[in-house]
Amino acid sequence: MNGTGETLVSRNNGSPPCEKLYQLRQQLNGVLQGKAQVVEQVLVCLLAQGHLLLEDQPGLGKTTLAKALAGGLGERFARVQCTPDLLPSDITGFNLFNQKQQEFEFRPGPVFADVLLADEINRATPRTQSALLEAMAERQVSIDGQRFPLSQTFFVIATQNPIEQHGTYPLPEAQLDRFAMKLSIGYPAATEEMRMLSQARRADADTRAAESRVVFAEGDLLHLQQCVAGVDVACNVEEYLVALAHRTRTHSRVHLGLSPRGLLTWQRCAQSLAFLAGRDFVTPDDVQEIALPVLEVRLGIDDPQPRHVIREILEEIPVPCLPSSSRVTT
Amino acid sequence: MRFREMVQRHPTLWLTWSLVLLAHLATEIVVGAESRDVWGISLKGILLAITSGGALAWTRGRHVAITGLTMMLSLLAMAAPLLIEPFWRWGTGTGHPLEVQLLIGFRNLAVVLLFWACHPRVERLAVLSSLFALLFCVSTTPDLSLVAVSGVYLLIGVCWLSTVYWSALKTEYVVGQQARAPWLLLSCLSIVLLLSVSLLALPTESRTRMLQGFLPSSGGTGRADDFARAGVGDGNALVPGTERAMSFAPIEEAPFIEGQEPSLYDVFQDTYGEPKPPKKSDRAIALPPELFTPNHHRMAEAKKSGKTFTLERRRRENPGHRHLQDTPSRAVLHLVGRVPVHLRHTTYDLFDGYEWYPEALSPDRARQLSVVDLKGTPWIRWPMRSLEHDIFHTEPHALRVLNIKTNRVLSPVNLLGVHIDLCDRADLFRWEQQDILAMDRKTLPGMTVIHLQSHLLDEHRLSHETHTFFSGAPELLALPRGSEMESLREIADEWTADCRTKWEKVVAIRERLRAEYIHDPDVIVPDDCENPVAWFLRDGKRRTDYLFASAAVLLCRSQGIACRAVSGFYASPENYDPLARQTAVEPEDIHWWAEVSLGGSNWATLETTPGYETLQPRRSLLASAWIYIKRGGWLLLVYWPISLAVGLLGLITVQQRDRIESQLLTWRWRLLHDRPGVREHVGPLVLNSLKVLERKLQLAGTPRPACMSFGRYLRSGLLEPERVGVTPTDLHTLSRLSDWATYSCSSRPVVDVEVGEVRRVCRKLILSTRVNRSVPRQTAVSLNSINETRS
Repeated sequence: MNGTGETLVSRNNGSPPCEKLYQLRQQLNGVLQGKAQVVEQVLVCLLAQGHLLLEDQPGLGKTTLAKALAGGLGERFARVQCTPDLLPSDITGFNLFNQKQQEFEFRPGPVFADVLLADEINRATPRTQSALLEAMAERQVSIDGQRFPLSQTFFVIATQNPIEQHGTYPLPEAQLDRFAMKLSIGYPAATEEMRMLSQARRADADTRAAESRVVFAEGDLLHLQQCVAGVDVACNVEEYLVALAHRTRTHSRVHLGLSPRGLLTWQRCAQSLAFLAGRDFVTPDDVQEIALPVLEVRLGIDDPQPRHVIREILEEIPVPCLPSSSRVTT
Repeated sequence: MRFREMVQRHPTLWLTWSLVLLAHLATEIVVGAESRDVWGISLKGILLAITSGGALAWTRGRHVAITGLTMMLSLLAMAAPLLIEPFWRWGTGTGHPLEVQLLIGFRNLAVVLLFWACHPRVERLAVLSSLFALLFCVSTTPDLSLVAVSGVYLLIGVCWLSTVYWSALKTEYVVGQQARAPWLLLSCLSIVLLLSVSLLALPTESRTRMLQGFLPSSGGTGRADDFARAGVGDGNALVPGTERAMSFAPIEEAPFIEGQEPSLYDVFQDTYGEPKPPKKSDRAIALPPELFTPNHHRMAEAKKSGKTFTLERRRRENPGHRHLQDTPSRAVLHLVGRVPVHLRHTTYDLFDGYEWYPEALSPDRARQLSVVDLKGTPWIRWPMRSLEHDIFHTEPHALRVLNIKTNRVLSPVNLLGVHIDLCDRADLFRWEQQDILAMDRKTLPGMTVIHLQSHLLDEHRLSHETHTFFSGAPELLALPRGSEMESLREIADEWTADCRTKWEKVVAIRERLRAEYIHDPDVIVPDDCENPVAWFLRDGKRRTDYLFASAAVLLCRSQGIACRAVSGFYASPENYDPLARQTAVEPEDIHWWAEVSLGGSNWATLETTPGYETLQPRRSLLASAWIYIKRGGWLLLVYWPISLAVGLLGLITVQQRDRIESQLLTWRWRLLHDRPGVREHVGPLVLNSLKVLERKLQLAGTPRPACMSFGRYLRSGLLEPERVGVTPTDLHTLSRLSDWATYSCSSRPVVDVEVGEVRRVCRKLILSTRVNRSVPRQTAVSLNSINETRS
């Protein structure tokens, strides 16, 4: 698979939602140049109904990507700049007493948007961070004993700065487990930066992002997410996933293994990746390909190079090479 | 915890409990075999079932952890019978035999382990202990009720094994794709089960004899224990019967009635034919005068009583042996112990060229018989003048005379002592000849077991000794007179020219006779023969055993080696009955051989007749292995062209094993998938082809990395499409088909492609993958390197 969408050649090809997905990918690649793989993984996360944690240094395009994505989806977009004095009600919303009508009325918070950008989430206090737990996991919020359902395609993109740790509150494991994957955008290549400079002279990138064309119609994203859920996972691939999950729990340098929720997320991400590759079945390659961003966010790894440990785990578990139902005949 | 919940969480627990209870029941049957206390056994079983069942339910609910206490209690339970037994014997005067103590120990271990059976490892150990206890019971007691218990145990055991296997599958093997059925373990368990079942199929007596010799308390090895059971078939019990050598009657009750048994003379006639009438006038050779004069009287008496043995005999007729009416066996005696054994009956020292004269007993050399108590049994012993050299091993035997009329104790050479149960009087025996013991009566009592101990010569050690042989009495060195004797001496000189010691000469003569002459019992000495021994050595190759023995004696004597001829029976290994563990000695086993004096009262059996062997000392495992290696090496040398060809072929096969296997795989693939008329779907074709390709890649030293799917491997470029001769597009298509065939549930191929086209690509891949030893073998490939390759 490459990041430009050329592999989208299966029987899915040609259907209107797939065409739109292709267009969205092109649009995002235009905004975030030279980061096709990141865009691909963002789409994987989106289609897998997961939430995304972008961890990178300031100025690498995290917010731009989020805004461009929201613009392309045509969904409601909200942004929360997390600070230590941010309250949970600032995110979820609150009941305000209406003196005219002499009753409480609910003022929804940004969490009721379809795409929520929680910028520098680690600057919010744990109490405020926890306000997102229910929203991310169950797509609902409970305020004053009342339950408010969120959008079916509710998608959180949280960012955090790995360098500046002063005055931050590291996300707890429970919170991290709610994210489908963690991505780093990284610096662009020199050629991409030169192209970026020339484009910047013509128009501001943020403006372009804001002006990005709406690609998806209402319901398209939900339809695609349902298609992803229908991608087959053969028994041998399931066993492979489970074996990998078990290995994360027994590895000597992993103190926090993969949770069942994490395993489900991994499977959904692999389905999503297979869908993007134009297949209606998942291969172990999909599982491996998406392993790093999925595992990095939720495993407790006692190693300065967590990616090495994850690769080690992937290399240890042999890939299934025989079909579950024996198709081999002699 | 409710019972149903317990069963669901730990399905094998109650099966284990049942197995342990059955083992306990079997143990109690064995322990109470004599008392037959059915009610007691049942009560104990019910009590144990209730207590252990309750305890099991209690401990299961709490999941008792394995601690040091577990180990301590287990060991204590196992060792308890051994620790308690001395005090029990001291206090009550009764006791248990050693095997029963061990059995109770294993039973205890299984019961104690039940309390920790919620841990799979402990549970399996409990089942193993119970299985061992049950097998022990089956092997030691011929009780029919054990068959039923074993049958139930077998059924529950199969259920237990199946449940354990499926539980393990459910909880463990599903997680790993590479998990395979534990074939090795299953095979071992199957073999154990099969052996257990075959134990049941064995006759009861065979089962009970399985542990014979293993348990010293059984009495079968002579180390009897007061509390030993009479259960292993050869104990001290009185067992009437005629089938077993070890079944006997005490000497006082033996059937001493005179029977119709044949004497040795009859057996000689039946086997060798009747002696020809003497032709004294024709004889050209005789004893030397210095020996003839002192022995004249003895020779005349021997001749008169028919005790001599002439080499000139008539052709034998159909033998008509007489047998005991109450036994179907033709055996004249049964022998227990290692075989082959030469059972000596008569020794001969004087030879006049035609006839052998029995050795006389000189009163001054007769050794005093006495009764010696050896571990509670009375043995008839006499003073022995053994050699200083450690060249002998003590060898036990036991024999029972069935059908031979003789009062001589048929025994191996260098007899040390004789024991007959309840016989503690030395005056019942006397010396019949110099080394031939006899009972002071007309015949040996039939059906009586005679235990013998003798010294067995270790020839291997003897060959390292520069031992000087006893020169012997003049009779043992005497040669008949005559011109032929000189030629005989010349033959002996020629055969022993390279020998330094006397033993080497003996061995040289023996090997020469065994190698160059053939044993033929039907050959008789011709009428006009003047010197049978010279005729034997010179004119023919096929001779009878008495001629072999006579020739050996004369050749040795011509070299100054004291020796004599012996007649008796040869207990052949061919007649060994492994079930009865005894050897039947039949009338046809009458035999002649020679004995060489080693000095003192020690003799060495000299067997020169081909086809007959002498008993060798027990060898260690290493020594036996070394002998087989030497024999194998000798065979390889003898058939060197075949050995060389097979060796070369083996070497080439081993060296080129990868190439051979690779080629075989290719042929097989072509036969199944690449021949005209084969119609198959894309999926099986792709999968089978990739399977073959994978094995060939392994053989070629460039295996697919285990962490990489086949599709990815084909796309990765590691296969070098240019070298293989396929386009990258072809490989890409095949990789997609591989992914589809392996991981998709859909039956419709992911790519629309002709089967022939897929076959073509697969053929190219398979044919181009060859074993090439010049290419260094690929080391492990990491995902990093894969990614680099892909980029």
